[in-house]
Amino acid sequence: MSKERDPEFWVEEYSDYLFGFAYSRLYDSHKAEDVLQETFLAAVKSIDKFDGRVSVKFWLRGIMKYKIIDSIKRDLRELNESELNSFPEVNSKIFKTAGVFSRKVADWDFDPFQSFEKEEFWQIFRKCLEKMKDPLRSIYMMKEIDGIDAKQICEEFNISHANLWVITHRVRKSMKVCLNKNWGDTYK
Amino acid sequence: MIFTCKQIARKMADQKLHEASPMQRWWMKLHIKMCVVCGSYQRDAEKFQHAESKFAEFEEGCQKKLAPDFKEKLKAQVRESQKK
Repeated sequence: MSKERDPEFWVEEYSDYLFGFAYSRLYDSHKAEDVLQETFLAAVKSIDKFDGRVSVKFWLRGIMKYKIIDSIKRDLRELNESELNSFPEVNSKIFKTAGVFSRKVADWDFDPFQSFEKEEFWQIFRKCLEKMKDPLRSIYMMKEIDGIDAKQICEEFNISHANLWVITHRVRKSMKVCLNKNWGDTYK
Repeated sequence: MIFTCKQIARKMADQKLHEASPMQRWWMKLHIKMCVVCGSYQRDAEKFQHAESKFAEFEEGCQKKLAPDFKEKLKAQVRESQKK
C-alpha cells in the first residue's frame, strides 16, 4: 500500500497539523480531538474517493471542515432557543431606514499593511479572534478565513445571506476595536 | 438606477460586484466614489480581506502537538476501522 493510502501514515504525518487546524476553529482541545477522530474515520470510509488530485493533507483538511461545521451545529443545538434567536438582525443599527450607512467606519489606530508584516501582530490577531463570541466567530472564520461558500454556510446554519453579512460586519468591527486596543497603542 | 449603501455593502461582502451588469457596476462605482462612507467601507473591507488571507497563511505555519497517547489511540482506531 502506498503511503498516501495508508491511514496510519496519515495519523503519524498529519494529525498534529489537523489538530491545530481544528483547535484554531473551535478553541477547545476536547472538541478538536473529537473532530480529528471523526475526520480520520470518515477518511478511512471514503478512501476510494481519494483520487490524488489534491495532496492527502488538503483532502483530509477538506473533510475536517465539514466535521467542524457538524461540531458547531451540535453546540448550537445545545444552546437554548433564545440564544439562537439572538442572531443579529438584518435591520440592525448599521443602516438607516433608507439603506444608508448610519455611521462612518472606525479608523485603524495603526498602519495595517505594515503591521501585517510583523509576526507579533498575528499573535494579537489570534488572541482577538479567541475573544469573539461563538458561533459568530466560527461562522466568520469559515467564510472569511477558510473561504467556504456563503451559500453553503447559510444553508448549514439556516441563516440568511443578510444575516451572514451582519455577522461578518460585527466580528470585523469587534476585531478592529480589539486590535486598536492591543496593537494600536504600541505600534502607532 | 440608484443603489443604497446597504445593497452595495452586501455585494462587496459577497464579492459579487463582478456579477452585476456593466451598467449596474458603473452606478455602483459611481456611488462608491461619491459616498464617503461606502468608500471608507470598501477600503476597510479590502484591509480585512488582506488580513484574513495573511492570517490563514500564518495559521498554516503554527502546529499544535497532539498528545502521543491520543495519536496512538487514533492509529488503533483507523486500523480497526479498516478491518470493517
